[in-house]
Amino acid sequence: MLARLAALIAHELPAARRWSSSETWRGPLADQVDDDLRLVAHLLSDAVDELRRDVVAATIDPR
Amino acid sequence: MSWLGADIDRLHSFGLALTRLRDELVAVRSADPRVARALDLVEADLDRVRRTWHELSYGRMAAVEFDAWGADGTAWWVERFVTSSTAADSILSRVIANSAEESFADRIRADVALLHGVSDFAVVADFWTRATDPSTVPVDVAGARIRRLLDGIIAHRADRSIFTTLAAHQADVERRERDIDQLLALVIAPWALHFTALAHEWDWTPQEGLHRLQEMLAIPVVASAVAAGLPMAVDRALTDLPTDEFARRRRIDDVAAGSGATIDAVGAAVLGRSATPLDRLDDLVALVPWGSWASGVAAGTTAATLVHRLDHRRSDQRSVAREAVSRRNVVATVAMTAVANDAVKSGRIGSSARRVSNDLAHELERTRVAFDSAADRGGSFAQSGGTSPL
Repeated sequence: MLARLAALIAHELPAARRWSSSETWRGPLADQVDDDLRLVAHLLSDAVDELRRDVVAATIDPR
Repeated sequence: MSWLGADIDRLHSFGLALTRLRDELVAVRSADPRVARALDLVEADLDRVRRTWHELSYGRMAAVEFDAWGADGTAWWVERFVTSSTAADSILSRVIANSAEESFADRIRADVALLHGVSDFAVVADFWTRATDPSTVPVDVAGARIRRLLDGIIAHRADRSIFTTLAAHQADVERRERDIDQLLALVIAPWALHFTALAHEWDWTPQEGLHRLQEMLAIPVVASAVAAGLPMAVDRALTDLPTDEFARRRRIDDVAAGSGATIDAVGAAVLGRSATPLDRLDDLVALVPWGSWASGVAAGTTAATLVHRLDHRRSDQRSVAREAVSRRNVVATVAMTAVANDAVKSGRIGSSARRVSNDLAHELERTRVAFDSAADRGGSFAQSGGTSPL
């Protein structure tokens, strides 16, 4: 699951954010969606960091 | 729906990319609560993109339907007078019901048929003022819409040979023409600076923009609205200034030059309509009500331009002009305030700072001088080839 999440952050998310530009659409609605995707990037990045820390901790201390 | 500019094909690709992202998130949603939260956001955004794409598609098809109806000038003109509800009524109400106004506004070409063919003009007026609202519509999108609207109206008013109106309907047509003049005033006034020094943002040469502005200012209600709306237009044009110092100064100079050119054009339009110097001055002073802050500013700066032209007036007329001139610095104050606000917003000074830096003080003083002198130099704008005459 961690690998799949990391792949999603590396591929699908940047692809979606590339289309979310002023060349595609502009205005309050476009700004809102762009802000949402920025927040999505932060959420996923934080989630994957924590999952990695959990994996490392489990490796060091299997209990 | 909030008004915007959009590329329907790119929006389709964006929807596909979001769908792929959504599908991947669904598969890992149980990994962490933050992933589930991200999925909720992406699903909501996908819904927004899909709805917008549908509305744009609907508006595009409705524009095709409308242009087919509006292409036959004699047919739609007659239909307006023989039926209580026209095809234009039907199409526009469906466009509004589907929130498809944005792409309809970008795609229609039969603008005159829309203005004259819809029975209830209030619906058309609301449509056009929202389609060109500077607070929600991007500059270039509004520019394309307004340029097309003005081209259509000018061409229609120059050649009405294919439109015949029965005497019984003449009053109706004249009333609609007055309604259209009012609409032009509402649409043009917020964008007055884009007819002069900011014309390049609408892909106009300065001469094209100024020529179009002069044509529109021949309509008294437009001249009045442009004069009254100038301080707001200046304030808006000086919001979100460039961070680069040279670009920022250039922007301030351009807006000052545009302000001066607009004032000059309004003054010239008023002079052109009046017979005697006294009439001209009265016309000018009466152009906007003095009670309003915004209109007082505009009338003051407009009158400043005329002091040099009306130097043969009597002393009582001079006093009126002097009073008007004393208000000219208010538009400069509007500009200085906008520049100072932008400096706070961009972090160049703190909002609680008691003293500003020497650089900012110099920039504010330079702004005041630029706007103060711009009113008398606006006439040289068109000959300057689009560069600031300051």
